[in-house]
Amino acid sequence: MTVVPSEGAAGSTTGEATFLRKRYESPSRRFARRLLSQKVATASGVILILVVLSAIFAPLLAPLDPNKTDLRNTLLPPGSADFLLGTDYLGRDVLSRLLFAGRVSLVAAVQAVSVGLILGVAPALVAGYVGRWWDWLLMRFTDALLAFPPLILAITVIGILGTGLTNAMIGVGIIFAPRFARITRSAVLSVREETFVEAAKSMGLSQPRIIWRHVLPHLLSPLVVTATVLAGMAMIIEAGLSFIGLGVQVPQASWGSMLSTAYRFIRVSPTLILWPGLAIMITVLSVNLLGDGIRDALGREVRDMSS
Amino acid sequence: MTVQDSATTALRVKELCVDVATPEGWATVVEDVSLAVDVGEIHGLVGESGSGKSLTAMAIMGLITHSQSARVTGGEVLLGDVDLLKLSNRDLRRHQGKDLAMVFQEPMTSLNPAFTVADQIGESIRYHLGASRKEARERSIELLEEVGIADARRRCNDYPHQFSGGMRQRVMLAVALACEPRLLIADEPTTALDVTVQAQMLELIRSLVERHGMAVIFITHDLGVIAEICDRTTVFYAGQVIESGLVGEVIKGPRHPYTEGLLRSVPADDDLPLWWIDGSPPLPGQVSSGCRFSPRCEYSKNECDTHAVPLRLSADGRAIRCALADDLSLNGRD
Amino acid sequence: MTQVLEVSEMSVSFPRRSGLLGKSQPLRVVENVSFEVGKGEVVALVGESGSGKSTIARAVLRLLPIDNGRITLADVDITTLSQRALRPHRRNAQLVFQDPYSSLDPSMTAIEIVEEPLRGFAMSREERLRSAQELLASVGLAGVEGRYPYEFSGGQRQRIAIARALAPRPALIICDEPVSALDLSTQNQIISLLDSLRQSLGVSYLFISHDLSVVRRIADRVLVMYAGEIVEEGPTERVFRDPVHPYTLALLSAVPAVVGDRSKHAKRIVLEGDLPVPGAPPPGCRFHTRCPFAMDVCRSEVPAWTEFDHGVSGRCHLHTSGSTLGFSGLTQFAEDAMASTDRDRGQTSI
Ligand SMILES: Nc1ncnc2c1ncn2[C@@H]1O[C@H](COP(=O)(O)OP(=O)(O)OP(=O)(O)O)[C@@H](O)[C@H]1O
Ligand SMILES: Nc1ncnc2c1ncn2[C@@H]1O[C@H](COP(=O)(O)OP(=O)(O)OP(=O)(O)O)[C@@H](O)[C@H]1O
Ligand SMILES: [Mg+2]
Ligand SMILES: [Mg+2]
Repeated sequence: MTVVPSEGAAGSTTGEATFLRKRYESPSRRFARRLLSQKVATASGVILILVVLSAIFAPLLAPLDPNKTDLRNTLLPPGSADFLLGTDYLGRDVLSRLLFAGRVSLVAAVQAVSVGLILGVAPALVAGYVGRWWDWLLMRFTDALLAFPPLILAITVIGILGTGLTNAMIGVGIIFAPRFARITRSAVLSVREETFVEAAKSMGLSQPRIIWRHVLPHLLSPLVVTATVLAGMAMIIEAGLSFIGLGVQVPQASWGSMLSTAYRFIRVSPTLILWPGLAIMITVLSVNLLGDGIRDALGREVRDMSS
Repeated sequence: MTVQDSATTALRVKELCVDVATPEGWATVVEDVSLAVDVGEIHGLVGESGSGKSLTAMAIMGLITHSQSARVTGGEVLLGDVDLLKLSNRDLRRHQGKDLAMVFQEPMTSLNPAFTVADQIGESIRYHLGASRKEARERSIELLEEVGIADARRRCNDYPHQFSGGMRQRVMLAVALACEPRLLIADEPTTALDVTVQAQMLELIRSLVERHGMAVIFITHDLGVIAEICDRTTVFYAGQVIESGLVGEVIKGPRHPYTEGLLRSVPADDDLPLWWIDGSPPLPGQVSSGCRFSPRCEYSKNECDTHAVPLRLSADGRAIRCALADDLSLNGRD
Repeated sequence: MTQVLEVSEMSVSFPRRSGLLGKSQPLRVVENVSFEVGKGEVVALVGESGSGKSTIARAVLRLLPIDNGRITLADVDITTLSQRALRPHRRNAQLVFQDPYSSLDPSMTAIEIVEEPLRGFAMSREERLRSAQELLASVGLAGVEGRYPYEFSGGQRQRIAIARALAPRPALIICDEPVSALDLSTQNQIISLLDSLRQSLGVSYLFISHDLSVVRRIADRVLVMYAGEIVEEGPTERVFRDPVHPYTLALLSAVPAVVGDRSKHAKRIVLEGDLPVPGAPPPGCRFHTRCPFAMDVCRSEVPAWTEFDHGVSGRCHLHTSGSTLGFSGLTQFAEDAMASTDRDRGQTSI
């Protein structure tokens, strides 16, 4: 034991490079470790990856041309020769259509959610952080948007931009934007009050850096959860829009449009409705479960578990 | 030494173990901690920063079971005859806040920023004692006055962020005392308070102990406070109890070199250079197999590094975890 | 020019609404404070809980708007600079916040937290990390750089916050209760670390603390606050020996003695009477409601700021209104008075 104050740093001499690798688990590694430790989320992730892969490789996987009609073999039941999942009312192979439709549906969901995120998050981030009249303006605007019935809004957008799946999804994205904006704003408002944001400011960090490094990470988990819920909703809205002819255009199919045509033949061929329905259900479910897992893996663990 | 039959023992902790998650896996940070707190006793926990005091407190409160990053791996926490570690969450909630209450070390994160302080103090009064909203509010104001918040009637409508650091700590104390708990765990409850206010808070706690026989576990690093209000004290080092006994005896005649070091860190004369125990305590997952204090101990012998040292009870009711205890004569303060 | 920080006549208020729809009326919690911190100097700010110490710390760094006054940091008048223009100057002054739990971003690891303030410097990432690692080691946290704040105990977090403040080599560090969460052994280590930085780099400190034994060790000068006002100022030794203000005296008398010197307890001045309500100070001297020596003049007239012969300044009528009490007299008087009231109450030391 000494009585003399020791000089500053202990100055470890062991190689810093090894220290970086050994003790400093990078945030992404940590995230991965925490995500993989959750069984349900991991399983959902695997399922989702399979769904995405099957959509990407649909041309290779599909046994037949999805749009080739075969009027001699309409409404065949599953398990028929050459048609594993049967055929639809025009004699098209259901399995092939399902695989190709997956591409359309997934892209549609991604489009809608991205449009919603872009339009919703950025302004709300600024509004919540800067406050004052920006905030007021944004809130009035989202109120107004939320007051519109969603379908009317989507139809209006399609009316302006023209029909087509992408345009429909831009419409859906516009409907989603206020929801993202509200979540973002309320999260920003609470993070903004945290002392660590004040600390960042007192260190002289720039506003963009503070928003990027200290505010945004705390928005990730609410945003991920909202995004996954809305992604499921996007697929369902897309089905509705396709049903009234405003979404995907024939002969292309999406899971939603397959579902709505199958509905017409429910008496003749009840299994037809099963496949797209299952596809939507499994995808939406695993997106949501994965979202929950991501939230838990990102979530800050707190010391105090009093609440 | 006080008689420790169960009629007078408010809380008995037996061989409590807590693990925390580190990047290398689970590491034990509270090991075989045993404590007994009598009715009407104030029991001080001291120890260096990171020695496991707060985790012990949270484990006693039953707050660790829900966490992904820490877990209780063994032991019993007996409040009366009930083992709190075995209760379901639902049964536990009936005790939390009423029979046992805690003042957390972190005032800001344990107060809810979205509710006024009156709501937060009143909540447990309404939940546990079935008071009406109005009664709860009046009681909250009374409590705020007791913890020395000026203009309590108006300030009870304020939110936590509108209070100063020390005021928040006192609000926490008011929340904890709301239902007059049988056991109060106060984790560094006066760190943000100046001496005059600290003296008032200590007085308040002491008066509750005297009036209702409340038992208190008082965590602090301030040996002055320990000397002032505690009856017995337990010294922690690296997650283990290394010494315990009556406050006066431990301070006058420490029997563990670490306790001696802690006491020596208290500035005696302003002209002497500051003194501290060289080195730093092992962090979770870095503990050695022998005596944990040995690397920093000036009396350390070879055998200290190789054999784990058991906690030994001596005839006079002291407990010491030092292999050399009988051979050393250590200096206390008086 | 040797002052690192000069504050003159600064007042700070918080907006406060009375009732749900009531008009917002400001609540002034810091009133006309002036002080300076010289290069390499340690100035302690002590005072009652809620007296406005943290508010001063935040206002001085322009984290809170001020009502009036002037703040000069390292020779630059920062009172009216825009937040953007202020940014380059922020490096000169760092703040260790009072609450180590909420002042560390929970999504960053210890080393990232300490490395962050180094970003503006011309250093590679490797260099920054190495220097952050050294800083963490110097506060006793070697080997746990990659952990997140929630994995640390209260005292360990406080040390991360201190390492972060040291990182950009500021000229001034404002420490808001930097060691109150630490045990004495660690406290002593940190204090001597701060002290060695002052000696080697000439860092100045505004040291907010309620722990008078720490203040006595490291501060060159002390400022005593009561209810939003500075009531006493002077060199540490002199203030501790001959306090001018009865509040300072009460503070000095209430330090719990660790051991032995139990006789001290007999002399403890227990303050009674109405607590000051922030923003609504009583007329006259703000301390008169609790002052054991209050006179009539104290209830009506605000005592003037007076400089006394022994180098201590303060506001108190006792020394200026023809009272016979001297400075050392105050101490003596208090001791006698307290001893007799204690006897009356039958109060004994523990
Ligand atoms: N959730 C957690 N995950 C990982 N490590 C943890 C966690 N909680 C605590 N630890 C570690 O366990 C050890 C004991 O922590 P604890 O908070 O009990 O210390 P303490 O004695 O209260 O210290 P202080 O006086 O500084 O508050 C510390 O080294 C801390 O880093
Ligand atoms: N954001 C706020 N809104 C309203 N009032 C506030 C706010 N922050 C602080 N106050 C009030 O200002 C006064 C001074 O607070 P401050 O935090 O400066 O005290 P302090 O001297 O640091 O006390 P402590 O030693 O307890 O930390 C207190 O009465 C507090 O309630
Ligand atoms: Mg603790
Ligand atoms: Mg404060």
